[in-house]
Amino acid sequence: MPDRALIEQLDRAIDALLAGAQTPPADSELSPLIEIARGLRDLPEEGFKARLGTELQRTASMPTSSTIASAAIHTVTPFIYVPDGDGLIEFMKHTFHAEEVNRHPHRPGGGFVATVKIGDTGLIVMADESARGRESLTTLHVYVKDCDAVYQRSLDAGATSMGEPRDTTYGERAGFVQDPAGNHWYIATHLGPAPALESVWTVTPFVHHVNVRKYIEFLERAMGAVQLALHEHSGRVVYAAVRIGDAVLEMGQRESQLKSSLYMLVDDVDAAYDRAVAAGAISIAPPADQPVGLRMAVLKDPFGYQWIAAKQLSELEGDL
Amino acid sequence: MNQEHNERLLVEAAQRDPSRFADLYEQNFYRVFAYVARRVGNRHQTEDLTADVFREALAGIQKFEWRGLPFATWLLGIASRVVADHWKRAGRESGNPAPDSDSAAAQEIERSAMLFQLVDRLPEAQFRVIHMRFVEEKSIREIARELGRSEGAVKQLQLRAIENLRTQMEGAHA
Repeated sequence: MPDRALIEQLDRAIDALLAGAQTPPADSELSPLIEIARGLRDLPEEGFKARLGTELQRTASMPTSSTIASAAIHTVTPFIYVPDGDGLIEFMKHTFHAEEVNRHPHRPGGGFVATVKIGDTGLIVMADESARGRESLTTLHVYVKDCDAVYQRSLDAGATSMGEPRDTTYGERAGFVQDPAGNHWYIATHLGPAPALESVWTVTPFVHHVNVRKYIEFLERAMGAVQLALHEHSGRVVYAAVRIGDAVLEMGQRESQLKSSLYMLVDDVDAAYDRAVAAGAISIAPPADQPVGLRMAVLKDPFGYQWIAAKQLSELEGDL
Repeated sequence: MNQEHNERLLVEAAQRDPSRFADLYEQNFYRVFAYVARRVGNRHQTEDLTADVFREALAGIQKFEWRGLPFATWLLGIASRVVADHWKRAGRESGNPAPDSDSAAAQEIERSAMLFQLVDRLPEAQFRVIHMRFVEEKSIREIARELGRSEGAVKQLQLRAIENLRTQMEGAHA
């Protein structure tokens, strides 16, 4: 039970500290608390660390991203696998004014892999009739200027509403829809000038898991993720975010309905694969050079999400 | 030994691919900030100079060579020069002499860095009160109004947060 006198004495001492005055004499219980308070005067402003980190990351990524054909592909990119890729891409074009950057055949006789860009973010869409029944669908958080207008366009393009746009308590107005292929989209607009996270791109993948803390621990070990935010309400994690490379992955605590895949650009596919396996990921396909111009490995994490670790072959060829 | 090995891997990764600098930044941000803050004493200037240190470190990461010293020593070397340049400029502009920047103990820097890290892990309500009180320098009354709580509740959160930090600092140094 907190001692009322201690509460008041500490507060008076903090007033004095902040005013640059001498702190009043303190007993052995109060003194160490005043020492902590003294140290807190130099605390950095909230958000400064993330802002500077983002600036450095963008500077650092500049030369490499220019060598990658699809410059909008960030370290972690949503990878969507559906039977009707054309339908999905049309939906994205109509709703988000997406641009199809490139398209390559997936295999002789059918299917394709396309990069689609929404704002500053690339998404990979792999389409094949054989995907039917084993689709890889994703939840995506999209920032737009006017979420009401985009929400309406999504309905016009065939989406189903999962929640009309409304102001949230976490600084954005957002609507929630399911596209015709089954992906979930949070369509959001920032309320006020400051984004909740400085480092998010236009589109950020969002994953769900019943134990977010455990998942973050795994991502830290397996992929070098760095926790950016974690908000709890009544002992439950309502929102968390990690940074992996130059990308942000957001998460919430509930059972996942979508079996999502994430494409991860790495410097060294074999090292990334070994690290993820050591942390508990299951190997689906070990690292191998692919005819599509990549060295690639496929893993499933212990929480059901699939990761495709890849490096552009053009860079590999430069090394050879 | 193991820590040194890990750090070496991180530095080598960043030298091969500068986008991997992020890990080194994460590990050293609070240390550099604490070092600069102790010598500058103004949050705004501390932020500017901390940013300069990391920009310089990122630009010069290829020049870093392992000589048995931790990466932080190299970073704090850059910080020392950036701060000295700042005081040189300030001295010329304002006529104030540069403070004696060598007297601050390395241990104090480590303590501050750890304290800042621990603040990040405080429960949301305590975190908010600490930031509003110490960074935004708001009064208990202003904080109570903004958070929709009583002044007594805010003071209690303030005490709990600081007790929390003290316990964890002691645990870390035990």
